[in-house]
Amino acid sequence: MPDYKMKILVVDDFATMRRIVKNILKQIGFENIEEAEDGEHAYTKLKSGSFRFVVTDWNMPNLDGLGLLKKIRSDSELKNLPVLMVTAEAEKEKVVEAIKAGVSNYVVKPFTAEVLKEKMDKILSKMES
Amino acid sequence: MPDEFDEIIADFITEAKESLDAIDPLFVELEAKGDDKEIINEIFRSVHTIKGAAGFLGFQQIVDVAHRSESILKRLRDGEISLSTSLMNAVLKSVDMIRLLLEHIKLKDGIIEELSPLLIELDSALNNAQEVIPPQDETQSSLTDIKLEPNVPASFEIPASKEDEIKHPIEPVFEHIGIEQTSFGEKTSTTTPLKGSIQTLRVDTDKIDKVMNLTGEVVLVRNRLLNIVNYLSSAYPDDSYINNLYETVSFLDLVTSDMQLSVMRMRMQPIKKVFGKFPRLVRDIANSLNKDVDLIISGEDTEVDKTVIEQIGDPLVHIIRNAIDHGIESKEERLSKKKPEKGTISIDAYQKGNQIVIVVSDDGKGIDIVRVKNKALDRGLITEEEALKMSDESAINLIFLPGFSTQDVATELSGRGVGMDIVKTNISKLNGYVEVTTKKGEGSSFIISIPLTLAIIETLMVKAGGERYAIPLTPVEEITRITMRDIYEVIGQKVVNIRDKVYPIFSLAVVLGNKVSSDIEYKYAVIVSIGNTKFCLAVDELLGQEEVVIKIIEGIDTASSYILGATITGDGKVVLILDLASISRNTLGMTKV
Repeated sequence: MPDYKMKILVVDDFATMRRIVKNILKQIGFENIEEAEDGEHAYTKLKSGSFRFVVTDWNMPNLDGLGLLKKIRSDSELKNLPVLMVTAEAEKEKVVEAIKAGVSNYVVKPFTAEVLKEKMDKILSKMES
Repeated sequence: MPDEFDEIIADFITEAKESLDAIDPLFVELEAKGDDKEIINEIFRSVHTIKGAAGFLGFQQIVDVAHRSESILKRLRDGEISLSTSLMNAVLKSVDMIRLLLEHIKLKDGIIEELSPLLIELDSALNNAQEVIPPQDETQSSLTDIKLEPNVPASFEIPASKEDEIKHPIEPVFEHIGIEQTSFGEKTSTTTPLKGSIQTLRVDTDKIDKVMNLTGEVVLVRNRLLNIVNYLSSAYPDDSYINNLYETVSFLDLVTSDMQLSVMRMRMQPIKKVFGKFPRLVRDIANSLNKDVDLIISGEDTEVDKTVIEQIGDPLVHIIRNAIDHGIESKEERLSKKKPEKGTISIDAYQKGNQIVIVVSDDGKGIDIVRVKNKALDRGLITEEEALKMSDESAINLIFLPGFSTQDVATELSGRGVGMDIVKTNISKLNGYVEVTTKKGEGSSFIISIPLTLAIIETLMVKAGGERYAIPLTPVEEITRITMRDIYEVIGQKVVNIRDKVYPIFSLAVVLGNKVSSDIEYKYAVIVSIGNTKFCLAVDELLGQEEVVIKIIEGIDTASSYILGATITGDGKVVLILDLASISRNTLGMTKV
């Protein structure tokens, strides 16, 4: 049973997508969700707040999802933060790169609340163990 | 949560359209620069994002189209295939199709587009592209599933501490291209980025309009207060309470003006939003007419009211079409005239006082005034006598008459009889006017002037024929006192001589049908300048200057009634606001006052 109060950051440059992902997270039961429009903004937010989970898109201007992930993993404060990468079908081949860079898991869009919950549960239970 | 879902869909449509608008000019740039990977990537990103969101929302048709053009773009970007016209056209068509599909979703019209021809075209464009890696025929995802099984284990061990694993930092695939598009308040976002705070806010335009209307009401109340205070302080100049009140109201006056301006700014957007579509438009039209045309755009950061953004597109498109179709000569003709083979259309926007000016110029053959006159004669729009008397400037304006079209054979683009009159009508709706200058063999310019704000205008209050009217102040050049002796009659037209300049003069009361012409007294002449025409309106009394809020009167035809709207003045009276542009159009040329 995850902590539904934990602060989650949703990162996507397309506002509609942020809203969709946020909505799905709310459907799962999470309440404390914030948004960022690209990797740069996300990183600044993460540094300033006590986020416990990141759901990020891959394809973004300025700093993309992979860039954000690398920045998180090389930051001493943030390196253990769970990062779930949202990818498109066509980006699957690049998931290898994300895995090498330390992604916690990935989810292919479009996804349902069930799929997202399953992935998040897996990440979080792994963290605890 | 059906409401939430509807809202998300509305957001999606808006955002997707903005995204498509932003890439539109890139196609033309791409055509000019050739195989530019950064531009291709930018287009790819947009299509890709739209596809992703559409997938969530269940818009399968959009996904189908976007997926295929995304595949093409991806391989172009990765250098696997080379850019060709057929690939470009296929991608362009799919962008258009996505637009159409978005429109269907927006209108909820339930229309299902027949996609298969386009999908087949996209597939075959990709298949026939050079250096193609053989696709796996039917499968949609021909490009994927290469290294990974579709079901990569849903969880895998990647200890976050294994930083040493990241030895070969992979180049970020998607580079920043430097184009940022926020729909609203783009200009207001400050240059200091980050800090985690939100710099722009998306606000429903209805809410802004509500604030705008309320501000309008405040302006009216302020005007009344000013009126009352002015009366009081002249009646009781020594009363300290009234002096205090006077100061307070003066402050309110300033604040209200600032508030008005700020709310107005909220509704302003860069005209880039409209101009952005033109490179593609010009390219398409020029191609279809086998002409070569360069487009030069400037002043695209000029900010205009949202309503202007929404309304000015169609008239501009029409003018541009006409310029390419009728203005710019064929390549052969241009060469024979020792002009550069490539024609040029330039579009410029700038602010001039409290007007926004948009100029569309071409370097084509110019408007043939004799032909325009003849055509107008043929169509019975003017009489032979009128044609003889008519100045060149007035003659050019004939193209704006309903039912006028100079091209003998209606071309597919600008023909069909509907034409420049629509341009004029639409611009009048924005309270603006359009004028034309032309030089034979050198080209024409269409100059559109639109007031900065549409809701609040500065007016001159006058009395004519016993009624009060508000005249928009912007086109008013000068007001002067005249007597009967200043009036002459030249070929049936009353004119007035003001400092050695002769202007046609009309009695406002007669123009508005309040009075017959016999017993007119000429007391004040208001000199009006609309485009390049100047004329005088004779009025009985000048009551002063007032900033008024236009209230539109339903069911009134501005063009024939000359009434723009109404307002409530400082002393609480309802006064009609006049439309000088339609007065100018209808009285000049066919005048017997």
